[in-house]
Amino acid sequence: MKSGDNPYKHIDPRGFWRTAVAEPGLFGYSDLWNSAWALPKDAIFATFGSCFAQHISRALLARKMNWLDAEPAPGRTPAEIARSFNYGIFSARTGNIYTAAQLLIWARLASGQTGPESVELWTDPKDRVHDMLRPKIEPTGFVSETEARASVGATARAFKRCITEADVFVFTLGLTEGWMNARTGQSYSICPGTGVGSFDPEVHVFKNYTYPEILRDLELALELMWQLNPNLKVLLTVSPVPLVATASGDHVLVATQYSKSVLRAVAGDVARSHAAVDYFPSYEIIATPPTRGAFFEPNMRGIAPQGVDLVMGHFFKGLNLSLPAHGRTISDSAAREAADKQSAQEELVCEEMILERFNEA
Amino acid sequence: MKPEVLLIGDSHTIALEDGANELGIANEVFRCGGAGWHDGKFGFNADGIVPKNSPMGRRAIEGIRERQGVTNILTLGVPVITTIGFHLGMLVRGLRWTGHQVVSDDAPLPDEGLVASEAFLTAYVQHHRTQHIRVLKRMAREAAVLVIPPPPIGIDVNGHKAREILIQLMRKGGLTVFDPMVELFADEAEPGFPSRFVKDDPNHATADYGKVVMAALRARKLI
Repeated sequence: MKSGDNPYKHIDPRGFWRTAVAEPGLFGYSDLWNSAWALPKDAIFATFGSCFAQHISRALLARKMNWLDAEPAPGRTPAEIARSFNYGIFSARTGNIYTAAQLLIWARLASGQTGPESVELWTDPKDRVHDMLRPKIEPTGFVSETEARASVGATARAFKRCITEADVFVFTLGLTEGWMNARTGQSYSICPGTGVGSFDPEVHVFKNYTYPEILRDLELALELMWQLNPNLKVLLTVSPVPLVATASGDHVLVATQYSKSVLRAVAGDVARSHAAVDYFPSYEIIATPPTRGAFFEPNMRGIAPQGVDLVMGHFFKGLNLSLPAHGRTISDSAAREAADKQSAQEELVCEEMILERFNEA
Repeated sequence: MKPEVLLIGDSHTIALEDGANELGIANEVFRCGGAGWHDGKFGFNADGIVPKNSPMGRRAIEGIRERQGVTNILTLGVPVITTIGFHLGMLVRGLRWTGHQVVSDDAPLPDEGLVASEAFLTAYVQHHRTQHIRVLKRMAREAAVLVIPPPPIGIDVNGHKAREILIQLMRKGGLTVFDPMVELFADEAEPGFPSRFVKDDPNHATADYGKVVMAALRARKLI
């Protein structure tokens, strides 16, 4: 290095606030994110995480890209029924996975390390059964414990398919705060008693997961997932949606900033530690100072569609789909053909029986 | 000759018609293939049931009108026995497309594929059978309608559950349902539909089954 030279003289314009942010403005960012990997043209994506992850699946579908729906609604299900039973929102019917601890539970279920019997169930006063991992997955709960566990098992199988068949597993980290069962260690997706379950202060304890705990849970989950598919790439994002409430005792604004900061730090560090993990800055696009909160709805919590569009614009701009297509299909057209063939066969039998009535020979 | 009953439905009415004939119960039959009762392929107006896109169905209605001298075949003043709505293989084929299975006491728990809850299947059946139930309710305003669900043969576990659900929905809709499985075969030694009444095809019941059902309806003064 010559005299008067310094490392900053060799940094691209994207490394300076003035040239990368202040001058281009919010809609002029370039090179905000470039995928760490070259992917096949027909790369298969699975999406999970907090509610913000839903936007990614919708955008992938809108672009007719390969979004893996490993637990789709049965054929001929009207859209409103599919929605109310939480089909087509994430790549399997996990519901929102808010915390790394919950991701670890699903990874354990998928790997067979634990079974559906490990998931806590709750029976409501109308005798409907809810699994506390996905308390709102069925609008009125399950008819029996057997059905609830069978459903968890099916979702775990679908979740496993997402790991083994996807090229990229997109996971949006949502919360550090959660609730757990002090006796069993079961992590809840919502606090028991807030809609589903009944709150017992002796059993249900608040947990604000710390950086080391989240890092550990995420690493453990990824390790299990890579055992199932060593080629799986993981794209982490952090939801920019603020906390609706905090049980930490802090002001919710402070709690939100803490939560998002920890998640952001974990995501960044995990991405830096593994070549197969990348971080996509949806949080930064929505929630950092240059937006002046412009993409938040008037309640300063919901994200406006324009913000989602901007996020997804950067996502698609940064994706590198330069490798040749691998040609793997994600549709179950063979199953559908077989089912239709069987139905047609039954139909034929019925029609033939009716026609035979006219045979007077 | 004025009939004692009017049979309306799909291929499952054949056994009932044969049974009625064997018992000497005069009958008229309006029958369409199961597909003829699906997805807007029939309607209802002042002339009664109107099959759409089914020349065979239209001819059958015309035949009854001519023979009986009525425009609306429901105004014959006789009980209507129907199997409308129970084309179960077709109803649940969407679950087969995706490999979904409902949980049932009568079948092992699925260890592969997907699970559809009973609540989901209820919403699904309700959606796909709204029109059928509406037509049956309209028919019931003009005649004594008795729904006879076909026996649960040749259908998978989803079809069995859909059958149960559809019966519940029909009853909830105020329709009278006579389920032979409960009314006539609940005390059989073997669970399920008695194999002695299964035809070779194997989705339909025999004339002997029809005879048992029609005899029971007569004995209970339902026809």
